[in-house]
Amino acid sequence: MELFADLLLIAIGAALVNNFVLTYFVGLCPFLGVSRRLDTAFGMGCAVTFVISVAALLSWTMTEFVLRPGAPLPNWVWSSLNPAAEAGQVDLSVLSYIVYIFVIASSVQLVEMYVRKFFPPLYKSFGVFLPLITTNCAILFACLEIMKHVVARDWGLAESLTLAIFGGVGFTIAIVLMAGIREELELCEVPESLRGAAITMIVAGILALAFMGFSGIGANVEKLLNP
Amino acid sequence: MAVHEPTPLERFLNGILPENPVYRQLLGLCPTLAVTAAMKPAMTMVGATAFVLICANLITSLIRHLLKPHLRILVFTLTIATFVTIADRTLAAFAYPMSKLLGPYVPLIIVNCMIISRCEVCSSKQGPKAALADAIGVSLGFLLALASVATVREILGNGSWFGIQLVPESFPTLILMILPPGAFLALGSLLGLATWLGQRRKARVSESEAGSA
Amino acid sequence: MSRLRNSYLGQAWLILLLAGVFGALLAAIHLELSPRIEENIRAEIMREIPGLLLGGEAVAGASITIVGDQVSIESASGESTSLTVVEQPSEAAALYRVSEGDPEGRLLGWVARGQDHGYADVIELLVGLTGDTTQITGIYVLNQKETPALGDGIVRSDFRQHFAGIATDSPLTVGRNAEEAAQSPYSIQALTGATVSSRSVCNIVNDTVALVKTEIAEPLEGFDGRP
Repeated sequence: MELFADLLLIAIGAALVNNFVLTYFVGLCPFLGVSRRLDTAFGMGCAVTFVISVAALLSWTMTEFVLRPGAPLPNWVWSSLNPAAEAGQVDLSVLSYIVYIFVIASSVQLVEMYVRKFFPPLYKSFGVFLPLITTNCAILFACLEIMKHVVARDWGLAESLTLAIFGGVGFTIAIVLMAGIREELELCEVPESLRGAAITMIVAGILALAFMGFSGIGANVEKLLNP
Repeated sequence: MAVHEPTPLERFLNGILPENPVYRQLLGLCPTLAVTAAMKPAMTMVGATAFVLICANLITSLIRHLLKPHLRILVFTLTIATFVTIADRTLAAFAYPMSKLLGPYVPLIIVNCMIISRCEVCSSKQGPKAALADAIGVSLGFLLALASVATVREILGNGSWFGIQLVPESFPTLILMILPPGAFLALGSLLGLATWLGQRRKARVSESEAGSA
Repeated sequence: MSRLRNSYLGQAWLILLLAGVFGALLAAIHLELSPRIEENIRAEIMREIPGLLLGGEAVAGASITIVGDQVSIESASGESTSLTVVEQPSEAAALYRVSEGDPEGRLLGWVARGQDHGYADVIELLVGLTGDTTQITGIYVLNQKETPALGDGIVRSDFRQHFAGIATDSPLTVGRNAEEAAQSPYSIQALTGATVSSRSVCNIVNDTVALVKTEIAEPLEGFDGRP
């Protein structure tokens, strides 16, 4: 029950209260670039959610077993090489950024190959977005958040995956809303100098303002779950 | 006919305004919005990004003849990630409060498309001199962009600039501007302003051309 | 020769070489800077401990130096005090035993770290307690992302000073205004417009105090609970 409450709070936090795009500003390139039409926006959202989950799984594994200070794998290697060494002294966290970016790049590749082979219709709908995702900061951001909590020893795999999946859901919500608004915006007369990126930014600002209304949910849900 | 390669000076000048990374190319938007609630974090961010950009540009330019086309992105990423780690650690060691304030946005420099696009467009094709000039020019352009957004947001949202109080404390401030929505609104308006200025200048140039003809 | 060029090694030698060079560079950076970074993280907490336990007036204008476990305070009038801070094994995020002078000195109090959901994101606090844990000596906000100008008032000293000197035999409650808060000695006056943030802080203090009391009643192995 306590784990469920924790997961629910993380999910609400990642998807709504601290929406990746509208509060943390990560994943803006696709948010601006691929939000012209509803169906492509939804495809992009799904692709990001998919990749972010795979990357979070891989990066959690790497952080837990290899990268965090006192992780089992490097310590085992070190102590078998050097029996005199004190246990739990090896700290590879300096390598974490490099490892994450390669984990992300390879999970994008993996997902692309897998989807192309086994789900051709799915590949047709969002395959084109997959290579773009490597430089999507939302994914690296999720990995970094997971690292922060795994190093502090307060998150396990369940929490990490929840953050990643619902972070992706939050991204999808934001980009789909944005695409809906932009489709309507096509019919409006926007001042010439604001056309394109500028008006999209201003609309995103209003959207972010609306999403601020979600803050405070976390504390109240918590009160509801543990009266 | 050989393709004209921009000289170092052209690269330098292009980076500042004509190809400004934020206003013209819409790259590096994540830090432009995230760390511009005040000038100090924004300038620290510019410093860190400029360091990574200059180092990565120099290294890729020095090894450009050894690069295999299909492995080049890998090399760029590796180089950038290394220098970002160095910048991040240095900040944490010597400017800890700032490093805590910037949080994940320092490691997120790795996926700042601005840097990888400079490696791809300029330094993997030209020598170290042009690459250095390009990196400094683009960094200045980035500085200009972040400084403009941060100035608007800090003055409106907090009544101060670089931590120096400009308007009296009792004066009401527009808190919205230092919140996330304010970042979008400020950058959106500034983008509009930049486009408007560009269009006005273009109109004037074509007018004067028409006049002289 | 052409076989070598086409093999994996021929393709990847540059990357392997770069990985080696960058790896060495990062190792050097890590060895050089990581003691400093750890020192920074420790100092952030150590610097607040005198103010938490001795009260804000005692450290106003004082210069604080940190050497290892020792925190020395030289007050504006030239008096100098020194404290020893030792982290204890604990279920809390961190629990420090603070004694006067050297580690053998009289127990001055406890400082514990606690965290929970606030209005926008997690709030992280330091809570100071007297040696017999009957009184709260002060609180300090380590991390928060509450709304600027409303919820972020929890970091101001005029809000924090409400907590100093309250007895711990009953949990704290939140009063919405001065009258409500005056009705009970355990009531804290909420910040105007930020009841949720104020209530979160009170909840974190309550939970942390309860946890410290259990830790002292049922000490873990290696726990130093000497008076």
